Amino acid sequence: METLEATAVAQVLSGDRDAFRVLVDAHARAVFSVAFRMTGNKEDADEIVQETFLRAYKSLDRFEARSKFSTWIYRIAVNRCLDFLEKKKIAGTYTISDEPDPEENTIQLPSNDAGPDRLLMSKEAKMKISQAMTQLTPTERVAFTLRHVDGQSIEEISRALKIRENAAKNTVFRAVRKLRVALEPMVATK
Amino acid sequence: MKHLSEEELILKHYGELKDEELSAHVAGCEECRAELMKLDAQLKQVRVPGVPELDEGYETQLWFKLRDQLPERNVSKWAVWGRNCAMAAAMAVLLVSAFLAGRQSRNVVNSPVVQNNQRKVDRLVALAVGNHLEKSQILLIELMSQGDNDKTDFSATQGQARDLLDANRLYRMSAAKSSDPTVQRTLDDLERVLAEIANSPSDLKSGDVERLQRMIEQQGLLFKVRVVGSRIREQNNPVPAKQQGTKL
Repeated sequence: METLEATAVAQVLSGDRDAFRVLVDAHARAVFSVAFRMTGNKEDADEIVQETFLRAYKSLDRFEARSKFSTWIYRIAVNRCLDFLEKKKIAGTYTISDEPDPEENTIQLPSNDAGPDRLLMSKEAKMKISQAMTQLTPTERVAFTLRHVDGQSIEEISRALKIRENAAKNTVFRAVRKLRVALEPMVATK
Repeated sequence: MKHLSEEELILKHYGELKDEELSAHVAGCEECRAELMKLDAQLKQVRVPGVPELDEGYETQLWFKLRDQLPERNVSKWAVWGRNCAMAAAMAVLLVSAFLAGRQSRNVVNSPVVQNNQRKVDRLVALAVGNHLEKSQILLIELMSQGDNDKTDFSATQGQARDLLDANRLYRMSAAKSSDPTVQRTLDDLERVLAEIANSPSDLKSGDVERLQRMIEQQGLLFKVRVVGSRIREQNNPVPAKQQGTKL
């Protein structure tokens, strides 16, 4: 697969635009997943996917043949997400619901118990997480999602966001701390 | 020893605490263990929405939206030559890998993951062959429309034919393993004609052009290339389920 992609990259660089389709075909879904996890909205994710591939096409001559195309495009996608979130300032648009709806920017909380106390607490928790999420900056949100959801290491996050490892670490710490403050009373009452 | 800081606990939660001494401390310290469990419980609360399932033709829809936005690239002759060499080497490696993978797959359990990956590779190879046939078709049409008295420079066409010939050899070898014999036969026929074009003298006489045109006609090559090419494109371009509401 990687060799086929290397061939496609070489063809695009020699002027064959259509060869880019091989790369789009191989990575479109993965890029969409990243974009959706960052934005929580299908239309926004679609827009980021297009921007990511356009950016990749335009800067393809900077792609180093020895690297993996998947890693390279993932980093472009992450940075497109960051730009998008900063531009739209939608870092705080997530809401919480019982029935998570991808179209509606919702975050789902676990609900193993449907008792009245639990429901009451769950609503309170949702409010608190929602408030905490609004406090995350776009960088914190992206770094936190990369660490918490995508399972990227601090080192990988620093490379993806083109920041120092310490800065990446501190960004994740800040995000977790904000969320902890919001969730502290909830977990303490369990 | 002092207890772990919040930062160290966060690193521990995500499996990134590199200090073995600190890790050992958590194992033996009730207070730190309790703090870590609290952190684990808090972070477990945060989930993001599941990624929605995409249409089967998502990639095709995306490609149609992207294609017209991709600017033409300005490339120098030397850059093209260098990249063509790299491309040829990459294709050779691809074929060897495909051959080895084919041998190996006889011994490997056909798990859904393996089958899925194979399908993906097949689809990408088919896309590349479809693209190759489309370019060959353009070259053949140009040649067929050349009149007896045309004095156009044939060297550019020959250059294209040589590039296509190199690619064709590799695709034909790859197609030999596929279950569709039509693709292989078409690539076989195409290769003979491409070789003929590539090896003709650059100052073609009208008789030479006629000979090449007859060769293409007798084999029905243009028709075959068109049919096989569009069949591959159709197979890889399922009609998008939803064309409405797409963002450009």
